[in-house]
Amino acid sequence: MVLIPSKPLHRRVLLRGAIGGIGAALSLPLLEVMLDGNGEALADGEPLPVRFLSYFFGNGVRLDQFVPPTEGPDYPLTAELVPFGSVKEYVTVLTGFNSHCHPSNKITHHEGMVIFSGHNNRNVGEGEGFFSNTGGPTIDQVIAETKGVGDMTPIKSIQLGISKRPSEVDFGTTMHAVSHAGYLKPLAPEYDPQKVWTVLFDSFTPPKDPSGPLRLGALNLVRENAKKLEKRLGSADRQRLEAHLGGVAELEKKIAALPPVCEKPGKPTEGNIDVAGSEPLIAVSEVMSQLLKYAFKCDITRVASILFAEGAGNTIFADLGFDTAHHWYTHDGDPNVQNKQVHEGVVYVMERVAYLLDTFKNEPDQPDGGNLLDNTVMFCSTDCSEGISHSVDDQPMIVAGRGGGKLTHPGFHYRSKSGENPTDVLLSLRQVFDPAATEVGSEDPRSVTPFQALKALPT
Amino acid sequence: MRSLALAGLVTLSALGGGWGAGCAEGTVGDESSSGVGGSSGSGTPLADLIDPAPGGARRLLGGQYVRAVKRVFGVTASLAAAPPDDIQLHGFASIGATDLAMSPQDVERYEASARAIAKAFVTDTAARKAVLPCEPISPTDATCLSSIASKLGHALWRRSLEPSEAGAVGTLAVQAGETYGSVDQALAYVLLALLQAPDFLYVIELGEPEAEHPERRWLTPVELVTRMSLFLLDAPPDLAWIERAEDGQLANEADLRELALEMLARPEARAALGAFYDEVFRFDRIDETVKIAERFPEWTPELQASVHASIAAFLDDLVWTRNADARTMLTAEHAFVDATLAPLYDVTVPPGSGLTKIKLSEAQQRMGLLGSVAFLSVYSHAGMTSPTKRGVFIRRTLLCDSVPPPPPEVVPKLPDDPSGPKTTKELLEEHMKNDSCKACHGLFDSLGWSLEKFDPIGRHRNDDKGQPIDTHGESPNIGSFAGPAELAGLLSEHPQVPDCMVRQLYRDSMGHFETKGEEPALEDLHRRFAEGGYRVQELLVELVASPAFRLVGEPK
Repeated sequence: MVLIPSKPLHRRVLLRGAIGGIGAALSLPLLEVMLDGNGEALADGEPLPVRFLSYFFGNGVRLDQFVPPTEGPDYPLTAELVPFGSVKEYVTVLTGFNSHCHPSNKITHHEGMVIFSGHNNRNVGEGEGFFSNTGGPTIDQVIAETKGVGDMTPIKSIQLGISKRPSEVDFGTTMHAVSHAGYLKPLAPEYDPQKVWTVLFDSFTPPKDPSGPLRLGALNLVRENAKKLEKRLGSADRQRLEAHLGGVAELEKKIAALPPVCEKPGKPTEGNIDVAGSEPLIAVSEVMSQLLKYAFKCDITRVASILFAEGAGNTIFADLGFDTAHHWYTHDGDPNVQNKQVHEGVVYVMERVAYLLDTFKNEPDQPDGGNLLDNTVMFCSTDCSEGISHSVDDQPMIVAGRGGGKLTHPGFHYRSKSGENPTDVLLSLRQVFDPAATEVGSEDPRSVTPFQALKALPT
Repeated sequence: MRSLALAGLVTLSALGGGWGAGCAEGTVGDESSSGVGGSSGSGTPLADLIDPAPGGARRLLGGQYVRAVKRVFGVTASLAAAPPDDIQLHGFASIGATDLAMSPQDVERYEASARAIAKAFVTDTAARKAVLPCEPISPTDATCLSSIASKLGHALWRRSLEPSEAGAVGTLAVQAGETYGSVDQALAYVLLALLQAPDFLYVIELGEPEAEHPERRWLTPVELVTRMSLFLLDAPPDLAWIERAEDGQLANEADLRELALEMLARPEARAALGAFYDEVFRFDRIDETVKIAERFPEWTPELQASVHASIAAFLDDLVWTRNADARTMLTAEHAFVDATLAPLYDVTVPPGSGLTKIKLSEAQQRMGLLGSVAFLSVYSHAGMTSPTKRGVFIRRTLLCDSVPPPPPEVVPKLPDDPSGPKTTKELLEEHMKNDSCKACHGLFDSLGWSLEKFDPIGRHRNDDKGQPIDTHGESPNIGSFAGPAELAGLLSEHPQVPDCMVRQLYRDSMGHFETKGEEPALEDLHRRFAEGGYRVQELLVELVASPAFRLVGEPK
C-alpha cells in the first residue's frame, strides 16, 4: 500500500511553486514572466483565466421598474438598473424569457431556481407542499467541471451567502442553495466572511511543511476505507461516496498546491453577525466581493456563486428602514408598498451587485490595461419575475463581464418576443468555457440552442 | 387529509418477528404471548406486513460526531471538534444525512476538525492516560500505535478493525513519528486517519437478508444498537454496548427493551429528546428569531435565552419528570419562567430564582405549547403576528397534514387597504374571499386567528392597531372554537395529534419520511401510544422495539 502518494502537481501549481521559491509576495498573480509577449496568454500558451460567477437574489423585481423600454446597447438604465451606471458597458439585461420547466414544477419560487440549472426539479411536493430537490447540476458547477477551469486552481469552486434568513416554509435542497453539484448534492453557501477567508487564503500548506505528505497519507486511507465500504452499498449511496471521494480529491489538490504567492487580504473583521436584530447586509456583501476579487485575481478559484438572499425573500432590508421581510411586502396589494418597499428592496440588491461588478472593474487583471471584469462572466437572476405573482414567465437575467473577450461588448438589452428558454443563455455562457459544449440541462428546460446574441463576434 | 384507519389496526406481538431463525415469533392476536398486543384477528405478524424502506448509509450528524469524539477522546478533544453544518430535508437533519451528498467543503472541514481534535487530545495528558491501551515508547512504536488504532477504531468505526486496517493506520502514524521525531505527532495521525474514515462518518444500516425474503433485511445487532443510540441519545453507542451486541447479548426483544431503558436512564436521553423538539418545533431558531428593535426592545439575547430555556423546561418536565400524557402539551395550564421572561406572561418572578413554575392566565386563555412565548414569537413576523405561520404550524407540525402550494394561476396578494387600519385577521379574511386562496389558507389561517391576542413576542394584547380582536374560528376537520383555549382542547382530543407525534419521532429516528409500506408499523405504534396513555418515554421504547425499527429493504 502506498501511504503517501506522490501527487502530480498541476502546471499552474508548479508555476506558483516556482515563484514561491523566490519567496516574493506579489501584488499580481500572473507575473509578466508568466505571460506571453502580448499579455493575452500565459507563457506556456494557456489562455488567461476566465472566471464564472452565479449571483442569486430571491423574490424577483418590479418588471415595470426594471425592464428597459428599448433594446440594444443604448438601453436606458431604468429605476431598478440605475445602480449599474458605472459598469453599464459590461451589463447585458435579458428579459421576456419564460422558464421551460415542467408545469408540475410550479409550487411557487422553487421552479424559478431551474433558471440556474436547466433541469426540472425533482421530488416536487413529496410529503409536503413546498418541497423539491434541484434535479441536476447548476451552471456554475457544470463550468467548474470543465477541463481547464476547476482543475486549474487549488479550489474548484466556492459558494458564498449574504443574508442568513432562510425561506422557512420551503423544504428540500432547491431553495437553500444556488449551487448544486447534482441531484441531492447541494453546495451550501458559507455566510461567514471569516470562514470564507480561511478556506480561500489561510488553509494552504506552507512549502516543505512535513504535514503535507502525511495528510495526503491519511486521505489515502480514507480512499482505502471507502473502497471497502462501496462494495456493500446500493447505487444512491455509492454516488454519495463518490461525491465524498471527489471532495477528498479536491482536498488533496489543495494540500499539494503551494500557497498562492499573490497579495492576500487580511482576515476580515466582519463575521456576519446581526446587529440589534439587523443583518449587516452591506458590509457582508462588500467583504465577500473583496474576498472574491482576491480569490479570482490570485487564481485560487475560477468559479463562485453568491446567494444574496434565499428564494421567496425572507430578508428584511433594515438599512432601508423596513421592518418586514421582502416577501411580505411583495404580497401587499397596496401600490404604495409595491412602489416603495418592494421597489426599493430590488434597487438595494442591485446596488450590491453593482458594487461587486465595480470592484472587479477597478481591479487590473492584465498588463495591457484590462480588468478583472473583462475576464469574468457573471450570471445573475432570481426565482421569479415579480414576487407578487411568483411567475416564471419573464424571469429577468443579467449577464455581466466580457468573458475574456468572448461575450458581446458593450452590453445590451434584449427582450424576447417569444418567451425563449432561459437555458439558452446558460448554454451560451457554458460555451465561453467549453466551445464544444452542445447542451445544458435535461428534459423540458434543456437547451441545445445557445443564445447567440451574447457571443462576441470574432475579431 | 390523512385518514386514520384506527379500527382494525394490526398489532405487534411480543416478539414481533425478525430475530431470525430460532426466535419464537408471536403473531397479531397472540395476546397470550405478550400481554401487550391487541388483536386484529388476521394472525399475521406485524413484521410481515411491513414493506421496509431501503437500507444504506447515513452520515453522522454534527452533534453526534461531537459526542462520539467526547466519548472516545474526552471533553477537551470534543471542544475542538468542528464538523460541517447539517442540512435538513423534510425538516429533519437526519433525513438530509440519509439522502444528501457531502460537498468538497464538508470534506475539508472534516479534515480540519480531525486535525484540531488530534492536537487537543495529544496534549490532554489525563485523557490520554484514560483512553490509550498503551503509551508508545518511541515515535516509531508500531505495535503500540497499531493497537491504539485498533482500540480507538473499534469505538469510532463501530466494528472491529481488520489487522491490515489497524496496521495501515499504524504505518501512517510511524511515518509521522519518524518525520517529526515525536510520539505526539504519531498519535495525532492515528486520530487523523480514524476520524476521516467513511466507516466513522457514515452509519451503515444494511442488515442481513431474511432467508425466504432476501429483499427484507434485519439490522445486525451492532447496526441496531447504533440506530438505537443515535435515536435515543443522539450519539453513537458506547464501545461497551457495541461489544455487548457483538457478544450476542442483544438477542431478543427483552434485551432490546432493557437496553432501551438503560439508554433512556442516561441524561443524554433528555437532551436528545430536547434536541428533537427543538428541531421539529423549530425552537432551535429562537436565538435567531428577529424582532423589530424599536417596537420590541424587550427582545434581547437574554430574553431569547430565557424563552428557549422556558420551553425546554416545560417539555422536559412533561416527558421526564411527570411522564405525563403528551397531549397535555397543548392544554397545560402552567409554564416555567424566570424573572426576565415573567413580564411577557404578566406574572412576577423574583430575580435570581431561576425557572419557576407559574400558572398561566385563564383570562388570557393562554395554554400549553400554543400559548408559549417560544411558539408565538418564532411563528410571527419581525414586526407583526402571522396567523398563517401559526396556522401552518398546527397543520404541518401538530397534525402532520401536508400544506399544498397555491395553484399556479393564483396571484397571491393582500388587497389594498383604502379604509384605514385593519387587523391582520381582517386583511387575511379579504383574500379568503378568493376561492383559489381560500383552498389552502382556509386550512390554516383561521387556526392562527384564534391566537391573535398574542403579539409577535407572545405578549397578551387586547387589540390590533386599535381594533378589537376576534378569536373565533372554524377549521376543516378540527371544528369551531371561540378562542385559543377551545382550540387547544380540540387539538388535544384530535387523533391526528398523537399520530403525528409518532410520525415525527419515526422520521427523525429512521432518517426518512415514512413510506406507505411502513404504515402498518406506524398504526401499531399509534395504538400502543394510546394504550400507554400517550407517554413519550414508553413510545420511545415501543418505537425501538417495533419491527420497523429493525428492518430495512435493499440498500438504496
